[in-house]
Amino acid sequence: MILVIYLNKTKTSEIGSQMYKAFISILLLLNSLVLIANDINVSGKIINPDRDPLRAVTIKIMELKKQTTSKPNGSFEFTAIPTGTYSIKCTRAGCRPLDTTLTVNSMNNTFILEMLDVYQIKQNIVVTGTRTAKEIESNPIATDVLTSESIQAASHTRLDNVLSEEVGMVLVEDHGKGVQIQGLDPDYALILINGEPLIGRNGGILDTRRLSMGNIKRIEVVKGPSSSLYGSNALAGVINLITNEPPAGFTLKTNARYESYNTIDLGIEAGLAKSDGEISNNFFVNRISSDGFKLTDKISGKESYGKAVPKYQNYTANNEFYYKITPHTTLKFGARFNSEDQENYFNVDRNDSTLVVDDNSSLKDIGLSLVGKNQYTELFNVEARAYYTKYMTATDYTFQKDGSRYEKYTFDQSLAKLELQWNWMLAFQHVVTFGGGSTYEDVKAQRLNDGIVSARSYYAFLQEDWLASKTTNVLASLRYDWHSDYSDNFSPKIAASFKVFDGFNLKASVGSGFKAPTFQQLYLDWTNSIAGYSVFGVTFFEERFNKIAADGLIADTLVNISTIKDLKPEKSFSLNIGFNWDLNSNIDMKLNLFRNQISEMIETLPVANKKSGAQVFSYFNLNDAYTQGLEYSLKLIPMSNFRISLGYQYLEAIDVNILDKIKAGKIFMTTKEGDRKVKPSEYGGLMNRSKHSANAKIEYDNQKIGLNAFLRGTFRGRYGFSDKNNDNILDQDDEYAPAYSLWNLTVSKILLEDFNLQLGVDNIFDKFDPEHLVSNPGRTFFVNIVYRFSHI
Amino acid sequence: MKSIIKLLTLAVLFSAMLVSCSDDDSSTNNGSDLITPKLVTNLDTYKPTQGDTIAYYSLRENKQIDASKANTNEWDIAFLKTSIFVNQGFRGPGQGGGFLMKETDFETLASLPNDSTFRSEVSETEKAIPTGSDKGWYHYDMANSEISAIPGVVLAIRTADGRYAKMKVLNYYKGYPDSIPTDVLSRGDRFYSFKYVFQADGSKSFKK
Repeated sequence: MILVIYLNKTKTSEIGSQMYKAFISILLLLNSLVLIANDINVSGKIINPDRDPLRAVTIKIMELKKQTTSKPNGSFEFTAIPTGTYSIKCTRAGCRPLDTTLTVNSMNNTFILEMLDVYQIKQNIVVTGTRTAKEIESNPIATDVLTSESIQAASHTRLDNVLSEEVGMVLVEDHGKGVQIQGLDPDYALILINGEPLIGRNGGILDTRRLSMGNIKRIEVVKGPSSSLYGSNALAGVINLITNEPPAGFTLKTNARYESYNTIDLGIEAGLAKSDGEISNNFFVNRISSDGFKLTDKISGKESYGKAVPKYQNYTANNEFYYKITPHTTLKFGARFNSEDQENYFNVDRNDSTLVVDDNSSLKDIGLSLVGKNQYTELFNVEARAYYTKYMTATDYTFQKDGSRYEKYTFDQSLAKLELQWNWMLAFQHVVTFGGGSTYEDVKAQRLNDGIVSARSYYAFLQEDWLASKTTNVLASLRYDWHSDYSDNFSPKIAASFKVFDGFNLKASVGSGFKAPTFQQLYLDWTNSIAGYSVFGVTFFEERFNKIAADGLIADTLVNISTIKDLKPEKSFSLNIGFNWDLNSNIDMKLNLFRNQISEMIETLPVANKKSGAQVFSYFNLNDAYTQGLEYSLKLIPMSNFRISLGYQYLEAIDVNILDKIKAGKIFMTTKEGDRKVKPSEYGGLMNRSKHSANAKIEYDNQKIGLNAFLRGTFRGRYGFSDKNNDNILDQDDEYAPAYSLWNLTVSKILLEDFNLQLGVDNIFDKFDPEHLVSNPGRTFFVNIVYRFSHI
Repeated sequence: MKSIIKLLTLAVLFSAMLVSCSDDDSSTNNGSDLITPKLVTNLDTYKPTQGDTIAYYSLRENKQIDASKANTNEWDIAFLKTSIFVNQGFRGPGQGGGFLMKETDFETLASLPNDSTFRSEVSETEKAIPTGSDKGWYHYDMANSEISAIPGVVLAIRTADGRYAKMKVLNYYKGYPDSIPTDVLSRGDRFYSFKYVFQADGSKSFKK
């Protein structure tokens, strides 16, 4: 018989179960060769989680004081072992010592032992916070993991659905749905797919609706700055989507889902992997389409102009190919494609009549990534990554009446990236990661200087992961970024975790993040033909300005023109302190206190007055802001089959410059009687931040009868929505959008073993507020059928 | 030694700052001994039958002045759409003048600065009180097509006879204070509501 031993016995992960299946199949073969004898010859193999054989492992049978060493192919052998149960100790440089017991008898004499690298623990490993595989509990970089199990139990189709139900993340509706983390705008968050950045920010926002969840294994979220590893935009957090790796054999998953507003989601995922896992391929395709909807005010009956969510159809395709060329060399090739077409309309006033304009927009996004990894020795490996991505949008406005063009614009962005990373383990307590790379980016758009701009950047990073003692882990990292069109930048970070007692880990990190100036801030060349104002990015500002000045268009200048040359990246300094505490197998909690201090925030300012009365604008490093608060989450298993998780975030988000101005008595608000000074106590901070937000998840999961019911609720406290008293700040009760909560329920039932039928209601209590929740249609329903097939 | 000098310099600079701050405060007041402002509401500056006419107003008399007296010293300020003029230079024969004070509390402003420079009406485009969104007294919100008075902006006015007033525009729409329609497009505009204090004794102080 067979025994596979895992070091970490607390939880079984998905990877574990996939591997387990693979082992069973191999070992069934070995088992047929077992001989029967009294004194038994025991043999086996020592492997690591990647199933590589480990040589030079010392294996001791404590009771018999026998020991042996594994051969280069990982095999070992003891002869003439009496039947019995023995304590076994395996030790090896660079590996966590393995203590286990083996029961040896005539049926049980072949063993596979798995050892883990010091820095690699198979279960609950995360990769985002350190760029290396690292155990989650003791990881100094606190990481949230959203698993495919919970994504599927909720039947989420897109990333925005998933994130909207997580604590500490708020989806902001502006140019799509961006995610606000720790109170920082979506511009300050980075989204990765298998470690590579997603591009295509619209108004600074990465629209989370672009990403399909059908082939996602897990989502790792690291809050707080990670610029020390990932560079620009990793201030508020990094969201890393990790795609499925197929288990051995052939697997197929298809789904068909129908939802309110004729929303149809169809997906196929097919995986093929050799039983030894040396070659695998996973293919995924998804189509989602919807009629979209209008918002109709229930009281006044007034309809929104155009649709609140347009009619659209979206295709996603993804293919991941993995090949282990030699025992030491692996290759991964990933390709993804996403395309969306939208149809909407709006009204324009022309010569006293109202005309309808059709809005046809399209988006295409591709990504190609190649990762080669070579394990020189057990202690030293190198990873080479090449990545190319392109994002294109086209917006075409035509008059519905005669099809003539109202306006058309396109935006094309591409990024090519080459990167090398070495991981080097030293003296078993240190893992040093270092690397560097280069990116080449170009953008084509009508409003940019000469319609096309390109930029180059280089970077290098270094990380030391130090197991200072059995209970203390210190991580320090530093990255240097050089860019052709803005100032260079250093991003350091240091983090530590300390195991106070079993199950209780204290964590703290201090770090700096940065956000590069956007393409607009650098290269915009835009004069509004109707209003006559101009906005120039800093790179070409002097040239553009001198030209219009030479044409005699400038009346007077408001700032010294020669100072507009160099923009600095926006910078953050952040602190995170917290703990996670596994009280017992049924209670688990996490707390994190955070503070992010952002400086050099880039703002638009008028630079000069034109003689026409219009102004010329450019960009400046101006304001400071901070966000601070706490995040708490609690996971409970109150009784078998039930899981409950609760989360809460308290948040303060303050523009320091505004607060200083209020304190100095320089900000006035309009009241009915005239003006008055705003009091510091009235300042509500940055718009669109809820002081209190919370979520709850209650899951009933009965695997015996294949039934799962998953209820999720999110609460958002009141948040600043719009200024009503002409001071452009949040300081009055009627400037807040009211608090709300949304509840969603999904019920899944396994039918005929291979089918999973899901029924769901989103927004159960029909919360509807067209003024503030602009893409919420009220209550919606869906039905989803998932079919799974696997053949080993 | 050097660091001591540095410290001393800093200390001197810092106390100088404190002194200058308290200087600023002397021009404001808690309001009890200040002249009570006069309130003018819904001054209709638009006569549709006559096109874009200018409406004239006397701060001294607190009344509207007929357009036939445009070339006299009888009026102090005049309104044309969103522009406010003073009686001087390009606009009239008076000794008027004006300038904008930003981040200023109208109620507690106890006097105009002694060294202040009143701007002149030079031409159609160069005005004593600038026009345009965020340049003069108002902000224009393009999304809602709404004109709103910028809080903290006070107009310092020299009347046609060379005396002084402070003025605060409150609103541009008919129905102030309580019956302005919420829908901007159905509002009547060019209805000025404002308050002001005129100092008859010729000084720049607004004390009783």
